[in-house]
Amino acid sequence: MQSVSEQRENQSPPRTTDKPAVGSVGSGRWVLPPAPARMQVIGLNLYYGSNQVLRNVNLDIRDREITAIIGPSGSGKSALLWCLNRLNDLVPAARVEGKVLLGSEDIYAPDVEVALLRQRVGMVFQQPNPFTMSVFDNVAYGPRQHGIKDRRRLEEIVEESLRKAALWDEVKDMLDLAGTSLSGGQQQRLCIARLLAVEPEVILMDEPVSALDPISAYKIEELMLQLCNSYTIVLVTRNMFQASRVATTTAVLMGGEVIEYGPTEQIFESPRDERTDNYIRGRVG
Amino acid sequence: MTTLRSAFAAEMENLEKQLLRMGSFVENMLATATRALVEQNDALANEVILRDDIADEMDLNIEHACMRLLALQQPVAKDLRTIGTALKIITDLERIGDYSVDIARMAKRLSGQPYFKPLEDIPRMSQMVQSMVRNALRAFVDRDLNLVRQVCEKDQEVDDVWHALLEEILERMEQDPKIIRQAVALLLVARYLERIGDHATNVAERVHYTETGQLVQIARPHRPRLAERESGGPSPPPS
Repeated sequence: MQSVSEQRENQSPPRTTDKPAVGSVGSGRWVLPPAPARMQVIGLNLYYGSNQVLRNVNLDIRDREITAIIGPSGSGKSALLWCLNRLNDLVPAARVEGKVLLGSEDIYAPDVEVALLRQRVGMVFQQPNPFTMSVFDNVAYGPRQHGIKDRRRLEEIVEESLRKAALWDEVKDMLDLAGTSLSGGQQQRLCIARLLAVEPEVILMDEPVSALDPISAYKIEELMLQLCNSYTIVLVTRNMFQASRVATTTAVLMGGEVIEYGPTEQIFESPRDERTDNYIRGRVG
Repeated sequence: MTTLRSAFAAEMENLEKQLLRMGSFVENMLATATRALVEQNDALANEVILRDDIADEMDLNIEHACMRLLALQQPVAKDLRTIGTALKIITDLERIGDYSVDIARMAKRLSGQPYFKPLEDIPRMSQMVQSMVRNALRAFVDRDLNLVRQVCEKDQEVDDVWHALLEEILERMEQDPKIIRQAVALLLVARYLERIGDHATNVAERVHYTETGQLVQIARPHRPRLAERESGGPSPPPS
């Protein structure tokens, strides 16, 4: 793992990957231009005790695009997402086989600093979870943890992060207000700003709008589409149509397996796998 | 296989029925218009002309049903392709209705005049394109890609009849300019039928898309036209 300072140096110009460009994704009308993979999941198996949750998952997470993971309840979507920044380490009896590469580094290698990994690969949860502190301190929390003490520098980071999270105009006059006093949608954008303040490379989003009203949800979707110009986003959602609106590529997970992965248009217009066709059309049995 | 969206499934089924109804309605308009022409029957021709409004209404109703399904049901995959196909093919069917009206109008113009030659090729072409329309829609309902291919092949035969008829009538006009008015009218009818064949082929190609997800023009091998065959090379299209 790189140190924070090494990593920051490497971010200008932003985030060229160490991996060679991967081949085109899709077929027929739906071929996406080749793009480097920011993360690669290779032969991933996940067990919770004796229960196998993920089965030989192979997936390229394309750099600075939105990759959606969809699938029925219990198919392993969140479990897969959690593997991407080792949140599963927190689950007792969880065991992982296979590799997850960030750039060219295996995040499950023994010398990986998990805290640093989670800074590079941040997570936005279903329920907004701002800290019980002011809006300013929420965003400044991460940079402070990484040793930034200078007030002006912190103010710059906070403003920049809140602007990127499309929240600045709404909260610039109440930065001292408790983060928890904001509306649900604002709280979620505050959590995204808090993430952006530590300059992640990848943002994992686990049902980021399912607790929000439609307008707040659209604002988050709009934000995702802006952020993916600079950040790689992986979105887990039960709302297929959210995936179809924002994601460039979509992976369909069923019974812990990726049964189909391709350009989102292809998945929703002409899926190759009959199981995908049946799932997205609501046909069962 | 059961669906968790039974109301939606019922609406999709209803959409298919509406399409079939419209298809057989315009096919019937075409058959009636052809009869009006052959039998020089003004009453039949008028009937076809009156039916045009009904075909137009069917077109609008199906479009409305498609837009409703798109707006309210968020169809995907096969359902999405079926609705996209429906939206495309109603335009083809509506045009077939329009051409049938054109033929009926021509029948009225020609009624009472003895034909300068027995009408054989035109009824034959009409039969051929009617079967194309019927088969294209049956292919849609039965998800039958063999029928799709048959329709596309039939279009070649229709084109051949059209080109042969064109050559023959041009020749007759050169020999006897007095027939020109009637001959041009009959040529137009043949041209309408040839275009109906093209619309039926469009429908078949859309069925192919619904079934496979691939938007392709089904290969129609180039057959040399009669003039090309005679001169040994391509000729400019007749103006």
